[in-house]
Amino acid sequence: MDYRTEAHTLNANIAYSILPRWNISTNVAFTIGHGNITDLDFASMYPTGDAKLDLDVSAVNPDMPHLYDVAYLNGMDKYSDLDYKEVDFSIGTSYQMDNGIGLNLNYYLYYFDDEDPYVYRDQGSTTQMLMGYVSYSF
Amino acid sequence: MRKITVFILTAIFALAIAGAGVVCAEKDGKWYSGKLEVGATAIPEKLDSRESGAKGGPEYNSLFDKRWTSYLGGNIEAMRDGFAFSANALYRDVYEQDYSGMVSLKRVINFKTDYSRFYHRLDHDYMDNLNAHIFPPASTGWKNWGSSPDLAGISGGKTIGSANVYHTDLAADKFFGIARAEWKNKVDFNIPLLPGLKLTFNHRFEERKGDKQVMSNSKCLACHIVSDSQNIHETTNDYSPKASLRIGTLAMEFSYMHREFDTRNEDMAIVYNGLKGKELFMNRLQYDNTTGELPFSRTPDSTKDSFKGKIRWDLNAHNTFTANYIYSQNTNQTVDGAYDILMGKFGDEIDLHSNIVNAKFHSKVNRAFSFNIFGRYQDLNNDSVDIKKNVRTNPPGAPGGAVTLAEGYIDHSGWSYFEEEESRPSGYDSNAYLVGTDLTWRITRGLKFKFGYEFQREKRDNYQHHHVPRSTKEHRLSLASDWHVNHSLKFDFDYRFEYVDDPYVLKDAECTPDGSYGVYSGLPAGLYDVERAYAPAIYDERTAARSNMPEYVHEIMVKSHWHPVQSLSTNFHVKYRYAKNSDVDGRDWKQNMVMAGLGGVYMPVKDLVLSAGYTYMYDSYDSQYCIAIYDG
Repeated sequence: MDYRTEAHTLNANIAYSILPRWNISTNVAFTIGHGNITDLDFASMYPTGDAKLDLDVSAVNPDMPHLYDVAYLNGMDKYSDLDYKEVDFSIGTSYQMDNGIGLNLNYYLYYFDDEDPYVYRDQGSTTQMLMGYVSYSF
Repeated sequence: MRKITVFILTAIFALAIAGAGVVCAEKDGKWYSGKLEVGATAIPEKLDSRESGAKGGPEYNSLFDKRWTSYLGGNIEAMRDGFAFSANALYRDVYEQDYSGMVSLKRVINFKTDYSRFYHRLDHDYMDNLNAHIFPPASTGWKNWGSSPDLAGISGGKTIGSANVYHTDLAADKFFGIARAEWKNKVDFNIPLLPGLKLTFNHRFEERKGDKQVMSNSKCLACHIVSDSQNIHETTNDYSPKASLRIGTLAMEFSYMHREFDTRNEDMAIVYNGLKGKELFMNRLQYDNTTGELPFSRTPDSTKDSFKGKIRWDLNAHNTFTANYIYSQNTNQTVDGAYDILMGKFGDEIDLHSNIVNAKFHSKVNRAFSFNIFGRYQDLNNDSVDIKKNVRTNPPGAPGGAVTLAEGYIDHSGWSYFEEEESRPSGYDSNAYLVGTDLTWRITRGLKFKFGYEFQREKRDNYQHHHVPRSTKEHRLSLASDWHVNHSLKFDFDYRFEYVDDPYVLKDAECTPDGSYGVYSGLPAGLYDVERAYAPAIYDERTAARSNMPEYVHEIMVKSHWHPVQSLSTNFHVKYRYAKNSDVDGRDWKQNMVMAGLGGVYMPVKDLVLSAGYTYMYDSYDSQYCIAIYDG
């Protein structure tokens, strides 16, 4: 079998002072991730002579005549699949006045796309956050 | 502990605010500064229940559970007449808090404290992949038994044979998460009368509280996985005094650390498949031959004590000798109770001991040439775990005679037993030594060449019991160079080669040495034979070695840094690793890994900074895969 993980990550950031006391900055990060087990190649092996495992179940499923055969796993083209996209974006600004009072406003976006949910089911989400505060420096 | 923490941090912050009030009257002195922050956080749309196990941004952020949360922060710094003080605080939510503070009295006494708390959303494994071999009567698909652990649902045509792998989730609607808090304190005493002496005391407190998903597992529960929610409350306290002394060219440091890990976790126990009143089967799940609930997901209380001594001796301006010794002892303290059979050694604590010695000699021969010679010795000695089993004898007629189901599972009170003891020595018991050298040659002002070689040998005490190699020898070779082409361009090259003989393998990991699939003849006859086990039909047939550790490793890395003009800086790096293990049966184990990235920072004007980066990672393993056989 072949177990493979692969990830691409791209990020960019801009910081700009529009005025001496007025700053703005933005940041974005984009990630693509893959991971899976492929090329399963099991030879047929099934128990013989066991009262329970060596049971003829062809009447139930002709394609799987033995109750237990590891070659049945070859039917999976991918196993333990992981496939996701993630975007983190933020933009913020701050302004500082002469009297020590500052204004700050930030926006955050988190996007996670779980394209092949596995045992934990769909873990994707899109969330946003707006944060603002006033500061006083002394 | 939390109340004490909050009280102390509140007191520190109150002192900070009070101090601020005092100094405000003396603002012209400017020996203080500070900031107060007041605001709020808004979440347009809360996480819904489906997203409670979300990955990405919300995974470590509790704010997404509420539409509005406060933002209260502040900091203050003051310094006057050798007295320095600072405090920082940020409160956003009961799970999102950060505080820190510092006090310095003429640098004789320095105190630092730091507290933080956050929430981690945990996964919920719905176990949808565990529905193998459950056939509904009309073969309409896999059967999910949902939250009903009732064995009565598994009967007749629903189970063809008895090879069942299924699950029960007793907390199917539950969402899991752990709040983690850490509080670190450090105080230094610099003794004025002894300028080379410094005394330090560190304390670290960690607390984990919340709920997590836990799964049962035992002889039969491996096929019927039962999941539940466990309430978690674990605390760790580290106490670390340290003394540092420098006398002339000799520097010494001695430290001791005592760690206490305490759990007040919910005691988890389960009646297998809801078999209340059916003790004829329950008591065969464990070798204690008792009936009733079976414990699972138990974490023992433990302690750790470690002693560390370090010396550094500057022989002269060119030669330095350093060495350290570390002794540590870990003790598993939970050894009493009704479930000793699961916990191991009866009545005694289980100790793990280790000794480590490191030594290094550094010499700078001249401006062009320097070298290091180093060595390391380590041994690990752990207590063996003693197991006592209360084994039932065969019922009349078994294994050779005909035994009916009713005869096989008769009331346990009519059985006879014999006691069987087994000692399991630790697979970690070992000793290892390492010797090596590295040489640095500065060929020209801009070109530096490095060569390194290490040899390590590890010997394992209980290799026969664990079916692993007796010893492993590792040779590691490294070649590297730093090349400053000019003031704006720099390259780093690095190559590593490793050869391991014999690599760590499990000698009896799979069925046949040639890697083909052997014929499984099934379990021995005598369905109700107490001695009926996976051996010899399965375990004893496994004679082939497998491993996921390398025998050969090649690793090459190139890094560059280029800043053609003052406003532009770029970097690039690539790393390739190839590892292979041919010392296994069947197909070789292989690894191919590539990591690469590039980035840049550009500042076209004074007030604008642009930066960007890209990273690529590829990691691939080729291995033979062994499928276990479950034969309930």
